[in-house]
Amino acid sequence: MTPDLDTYAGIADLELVARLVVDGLVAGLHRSPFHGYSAEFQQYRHYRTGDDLKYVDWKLLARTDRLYTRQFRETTNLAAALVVDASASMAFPERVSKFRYAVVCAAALAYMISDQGDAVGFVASGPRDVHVPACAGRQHLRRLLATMASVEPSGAWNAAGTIRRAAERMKRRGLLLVFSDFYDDEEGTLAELRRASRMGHEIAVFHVISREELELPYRRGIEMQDLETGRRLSLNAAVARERYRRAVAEFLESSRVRAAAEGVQHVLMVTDMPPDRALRNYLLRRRATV
Amino acid sequence: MVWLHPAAWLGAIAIAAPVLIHLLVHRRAETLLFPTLRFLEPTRLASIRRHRLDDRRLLLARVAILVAAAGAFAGPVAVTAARRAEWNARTVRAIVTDLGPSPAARRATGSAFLATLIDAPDLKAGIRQGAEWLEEAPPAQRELVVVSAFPQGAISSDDIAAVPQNVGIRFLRAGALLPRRTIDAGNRLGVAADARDRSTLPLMASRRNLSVLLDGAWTRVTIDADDIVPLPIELNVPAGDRTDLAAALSAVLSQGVFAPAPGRAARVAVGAATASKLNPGPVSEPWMGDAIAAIARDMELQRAAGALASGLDDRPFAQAPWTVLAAANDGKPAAVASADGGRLLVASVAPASHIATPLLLRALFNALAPAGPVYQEVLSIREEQLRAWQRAPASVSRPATQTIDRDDRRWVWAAVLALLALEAWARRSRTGQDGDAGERDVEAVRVA
Repeated sequence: MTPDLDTYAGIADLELVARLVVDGLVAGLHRSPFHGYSAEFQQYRHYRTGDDLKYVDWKLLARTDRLYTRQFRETTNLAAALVVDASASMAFPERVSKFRYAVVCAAALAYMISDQGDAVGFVASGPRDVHVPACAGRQHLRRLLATMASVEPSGAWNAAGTIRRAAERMKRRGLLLVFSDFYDDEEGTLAELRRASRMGHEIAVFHVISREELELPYRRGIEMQDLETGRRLSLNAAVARERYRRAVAEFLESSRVRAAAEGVQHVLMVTDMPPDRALRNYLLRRRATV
Repeated sequence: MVWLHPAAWLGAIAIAAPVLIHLLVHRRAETLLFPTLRFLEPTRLASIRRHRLDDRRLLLARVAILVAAAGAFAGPVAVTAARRAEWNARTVRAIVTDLGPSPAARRATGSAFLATLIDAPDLKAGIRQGAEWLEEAPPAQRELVVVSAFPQGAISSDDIAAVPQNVGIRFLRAGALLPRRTIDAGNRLGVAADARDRSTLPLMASRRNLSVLLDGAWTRVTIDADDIVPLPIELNVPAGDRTDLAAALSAVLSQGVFAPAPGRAARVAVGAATASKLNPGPVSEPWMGDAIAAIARDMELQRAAGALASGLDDRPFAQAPWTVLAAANDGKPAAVASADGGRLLVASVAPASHIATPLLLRALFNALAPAGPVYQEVLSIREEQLRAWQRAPASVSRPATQTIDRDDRRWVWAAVLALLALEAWARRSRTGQDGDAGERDVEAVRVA
């Protein structure tokens, strides 16, 4: 059974949470979407649930009664960079924030990628940039997850600059996964995503948004305060609701269309959906295209 | 306004609840931290201010509900002129009788608003009981009616004075006096049996009970029993004069003198010569002073003492603490008095055979006796006395709250219901404003 959101919110250990998400994911995928490209054999390893049966050594099974999977050199060629928006707007809502949600999803993807023997790095941008260079291995994964867990969202982020630096740091073509609410500098962000795509990177943007931001479920008069700028605004939420919803829907649709136009995968993630389900759609789509 | 249960006003503390709620959930808008305001534009605050005004009305309505409810529980009674007139138009009556549930007693109920019949063989106790019952009765004119044959001694002025002044008193003569009654006739002095000490004459008191028999208009009195109790009066006399003293004492007692009142004792030294054997002290009790004054006023004693050739020679008799009761012919004290502990000490120079001695004894016994006559005539209380004791009931001014039988809380509860309806209306009209959206509200929010 897939753990619910409260479980993800309640568990502090990011590695455990990531594993739970991956377990939920892999159970449905049957085949890892991050499997390597090259056929050059490198080594055997014990079979794990989800491994492609195509790579199982059946002869070895007949001889030893044990399942082994062949690993190939090219599986180590994938390098992925996880870019997470750590600005103050990601600290909403209080129960399970968008940042926490993004970090759990990013951690799950890092877990999957690292499990395949590939390199994974992490960039978080808020008032202070956090950068973990891409590397493979269990120890690195642990350090990476610990770094992810230590970041607290605050202030504003330079989306365009962060994406550019993350893309430039990858020495070869790789996978660039960006988690954000994309409220800042849309044009600049899109330009950098386009640039990264032209550099040969495969890019996916995970557009994280909460149910409250989608629906504005508040009653009567409230005074809102922007988390990043501190600006205040008083309004009657009941009156504003319908128009607000339309505006947000238009914004999301616009983001999707513009990302698709640049060859960037756009994944909408609403924080009340279990992370494994949110990632599954992306992974299924990716597996189909790879 | 009078409150039957003023402690219920403590419930008004609950007023703090809506006030606190109002302050905590104030109609200023709650502040919400939101990721971005790019999809919203500010609206005017007039709608919010309007809510504040509505909320004030709502708060007042809720406070008024709580205050009114507390007032209803407190049991309000509006003491208006009409209410006082209503109280004064009715009478509560306590009928006290020693005749049992007789027709006369039942008739005495009359058209009273509320009445009770108290059957009391002892009218004094019955009157006390009736007054207590009237104290607890609902507000009305209060009347005590006594139905009796009113034998003498059944009621006294003290019993009437103990009845509160606002209670009217009325007497209805009915029934007949008892044919035979026993009355305490007081204690008479008598001489006890011979004592071993020849220098003293022990006295006794015989308790007398008079039986009174009504035989037409006449009464007959007989002494039912003698009860002998020793008395605290010591008579000292030289041994050779004992017989004379007994004779003098017998003459005094034959006149029917009463035993001393309780707490009074005396020692009399007849034929005293020296003060050295006596133990005089200053008079410390008021009754002793009264007794000394009474004895000294006895003119027959003064004349008899003046016939004595010489008085008490011993010089101490002429000084304090001795007080001269009577003087002899030579000007010296013939009889003196002081105190000996708790006893009146009297010394007399006259021998027992002299006339001054029985006169002194008579004056002493009368001075020690209780004041006033102790026996009563077997007659009914005179009509004039009953009329003097009668009085009309007073008007009701401010009744005791615990006696009020009807209050006005039903009007206050009606006010509470009206306030509840007002509160509901105020709440709905505020909700209606919230539901209004669209073009009619020109202050609606504009969205980017």
